[in-house]
Amino acid sequence: MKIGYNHIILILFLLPYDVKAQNLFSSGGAKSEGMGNASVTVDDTWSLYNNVGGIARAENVSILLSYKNRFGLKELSTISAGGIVPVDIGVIGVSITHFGSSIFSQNNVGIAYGNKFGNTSLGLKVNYLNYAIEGYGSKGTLILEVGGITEITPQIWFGAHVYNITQSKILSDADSDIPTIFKAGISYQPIDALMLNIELQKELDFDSHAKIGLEYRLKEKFFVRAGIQTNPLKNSFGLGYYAGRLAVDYAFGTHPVLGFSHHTSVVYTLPGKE
Amino acid sequence: MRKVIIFLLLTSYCTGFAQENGKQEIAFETLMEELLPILDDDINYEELYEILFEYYSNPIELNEASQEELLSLFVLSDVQIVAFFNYKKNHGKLLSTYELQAIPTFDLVTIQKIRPFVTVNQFASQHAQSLLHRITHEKNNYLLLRYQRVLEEKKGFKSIDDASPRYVGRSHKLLAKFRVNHNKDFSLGFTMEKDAGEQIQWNPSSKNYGADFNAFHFTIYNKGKFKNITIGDFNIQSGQGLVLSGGFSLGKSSETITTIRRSDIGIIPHTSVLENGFFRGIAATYSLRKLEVTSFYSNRNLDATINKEEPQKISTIRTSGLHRTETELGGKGILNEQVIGTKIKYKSDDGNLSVGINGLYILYDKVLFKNPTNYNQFEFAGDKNYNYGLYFNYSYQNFNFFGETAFSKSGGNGTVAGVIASLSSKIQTSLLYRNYARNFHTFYGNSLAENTRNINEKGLYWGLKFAPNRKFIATAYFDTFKFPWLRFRVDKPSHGYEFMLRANYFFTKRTSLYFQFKEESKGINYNPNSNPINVVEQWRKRSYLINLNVEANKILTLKTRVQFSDYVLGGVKTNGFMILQDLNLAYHKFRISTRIALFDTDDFNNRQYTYERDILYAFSIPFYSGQGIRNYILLRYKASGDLDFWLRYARTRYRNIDNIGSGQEEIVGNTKTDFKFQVRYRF
Repeated sequence: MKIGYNHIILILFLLPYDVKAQNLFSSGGAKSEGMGNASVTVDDTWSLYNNVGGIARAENVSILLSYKNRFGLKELSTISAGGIVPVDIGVIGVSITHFGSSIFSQNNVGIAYGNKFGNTSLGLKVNYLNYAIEGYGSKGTLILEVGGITEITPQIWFGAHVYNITQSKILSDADSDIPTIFKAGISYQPIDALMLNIELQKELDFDSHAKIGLEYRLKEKFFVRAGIQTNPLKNSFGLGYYAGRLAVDYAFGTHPVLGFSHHTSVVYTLPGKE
Repeated sequence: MRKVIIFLLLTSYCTGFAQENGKQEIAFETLMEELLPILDDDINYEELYEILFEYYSNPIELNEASQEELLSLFVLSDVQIVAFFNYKKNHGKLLSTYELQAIPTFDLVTIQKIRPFVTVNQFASQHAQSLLHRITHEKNNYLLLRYQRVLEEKKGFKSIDDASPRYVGRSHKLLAKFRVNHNKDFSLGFTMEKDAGEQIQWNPSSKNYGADFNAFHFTIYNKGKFKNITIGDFNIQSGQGLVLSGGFSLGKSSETITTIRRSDIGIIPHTSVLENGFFRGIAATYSLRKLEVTSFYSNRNLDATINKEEPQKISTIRTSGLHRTETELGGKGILNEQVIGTKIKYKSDDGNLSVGINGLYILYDKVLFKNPTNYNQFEFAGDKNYNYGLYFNYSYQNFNFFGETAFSKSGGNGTVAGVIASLSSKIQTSLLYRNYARNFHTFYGNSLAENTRNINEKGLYWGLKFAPNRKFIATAYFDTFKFPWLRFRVDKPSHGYEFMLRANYFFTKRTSLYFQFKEESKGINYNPNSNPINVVEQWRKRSYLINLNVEANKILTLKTRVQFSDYVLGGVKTNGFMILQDLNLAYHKFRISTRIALFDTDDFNNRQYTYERDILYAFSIPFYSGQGIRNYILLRYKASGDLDFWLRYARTRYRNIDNIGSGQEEIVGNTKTDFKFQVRYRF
């Protein structure tokens, strides 16, 4: 199917339907997608996208790679890559994301820094977000995000994150074209194998919506996941396989009108200093 | 032996008790969030807060505190106060505030709450020196200078060639405040303030003496039989505050027990920038065996609006204190008020019973006469009013009964009566009955009420507090009320209720979560089809709040809060939502507080109130209506032991609107930015 300008209009109409992670077309890894994107409290490599505060707990260098396909359209897919590196003064992360095709694309490069303070880890990420439309040119802006995770008890964790805290916009005369998004959530882990996350996300121009996600570890290396989001109501399911240094995740999401999305991601962790 | 115990207590609990002014401010903020009326109505929270702050910032001397003074902190329960006096009787005076831990029923949470507001001075003040020497050498003093302004230009400041009134002054708000005091010895202070739009000018004939508002007081304590002699600006608190309320009322807050009962503390200096509701003159309290007599005289010029139909008369007394336009200036100080009053209190030897009488006489130099409407038929009119009444307070075992009743010149009666009881070590309850006749006129009274004034209301309040252990505490209240006569925008006698529940869980000493729910219903005129007669319908509002406080370590503190509400009237439901995140850092001489908040409300009925950190002695409790984002950043720098600086930058950016505010306050655009700068110096 050849993509024409009418597809760009379709993409723009998708905006209110697919507001999930930080910005319009990014993705937070298949692990998060499998849990309905209720991942603000999770501290793993994917925190680089979901809640930058989570990278502060990393102990080893890790690299991530992810591919998300939306509704069967190649032109609506997102590729993400990145890495986090613990250093003396905290943890540093880098991420690159590309969405779209030559007709319409969104690209993002980000640098993140996180550190731990007592029972809380905080992080900061600076992104350069750029839109390129064939025939119109390209334009970008800097976007700042901040987030943190707190361990309330060993079983209860709390996380909060704000994307685009400076309310930057791409077009100077628009009221606001890049949304400012606020997420806050709680994670409950009654036993090691089970994690239940509940999260609230609020973007200023839309009603708030809730996300609930569940992850269960079968055996040592297998994970199953399920999640629900409201407004509109979407389901998702996921699987994960963790063997040694490699973690592979797959997620599958539904949308009441637009159909299915598939998401695959891989994380490779380098051997660290003991 | 006692010295050994104190030494052990000192070493084992030292880390929790670093006493310095910064901690006192934070402790005050935390306490106020509990004590303040639930942020929901159009009460002027900032004024209330300032009065309370002035009060709390003078630590009470524990060894000389009376029962009323301890009650007036609104933290200690009756059981704890009894235990305190028993301890003092058996062990003599306290040697330090650390000794509070040795008193039975004083748990660590309570001690931490009150410690910033109490003190134990082993060294008696040097009464041998002359008063002048003591004043000039007193270390407990401060001089405060503040500059504040809204950065965007309001309509009232623009030069537009039309007939609408303009603000005569510049757009900055200035304040200078000085205070020096020594507990139970003396207190001296002055305040000079100019609001945005007001002018600094000297023109005695139009009642302008430099700054727009000036206040001054000088108090001497314990001079022979006189417990207190005050000249200048002051307030008086008597009984349950039905006639003399000390300038404030705590209303219905999430602290459902201690705030229901008022303390009879007598004369308090007026040092806030509240431009009305206080006395200006002289006052004194005299002890005569078991009696305590307080008398005062006040002579003050109030702002008022002339009745257009009868220019010799006044139609309303203006309480905003704003004199920015020619019209507002024209009404400045045009009504002279003289007040003379007295209260006599008797206290029994064992302290369980106190009984008192109040009398107050008010004389205006012009007649107050409002143009009649259907709802103001029984309001005050004339140039004279008087109140006389009786109050009591009686403790019996674990019950404390209190009450006050008063009459006004109109013959109208006001009564409050209540009881506070500790039913078990974990449960306390309070009950308060109130009945303010529709023609009861009290100008300086402010007892518990749903209305903003004590008139035309009957109600019953029931409060509960459940504290089973140190980790969990729940409070609730249930208030039902009736308004026997019409009210503004309510064209028939009406009724309503209010219910609140708050649960607070402390995961650790440094992480706490609380949840609060409130439901309120009242009547209001409802006439969507513009019929000739208004029908009164009940509206109902529900508010929910979840708040998490995390002290990550000594430097970093975080807060996350979500609040939402819904409002229903005539079958139509609207909603409101707010989410915010605070980050606070305390590092060496710096303290930084920042916030980002997103709000989204369908209408004004769902406006969301939040409490914000502000510079010392200034208070921010704004509300948000509409959609937008609010940020602020507050910086404090302690240059030395004597010198502090504050800077605050706050901005609200609204969505989908072209201007903010209305009339002379209107700002073009969708952003409103507020800037404050303050210096404090101690001599």
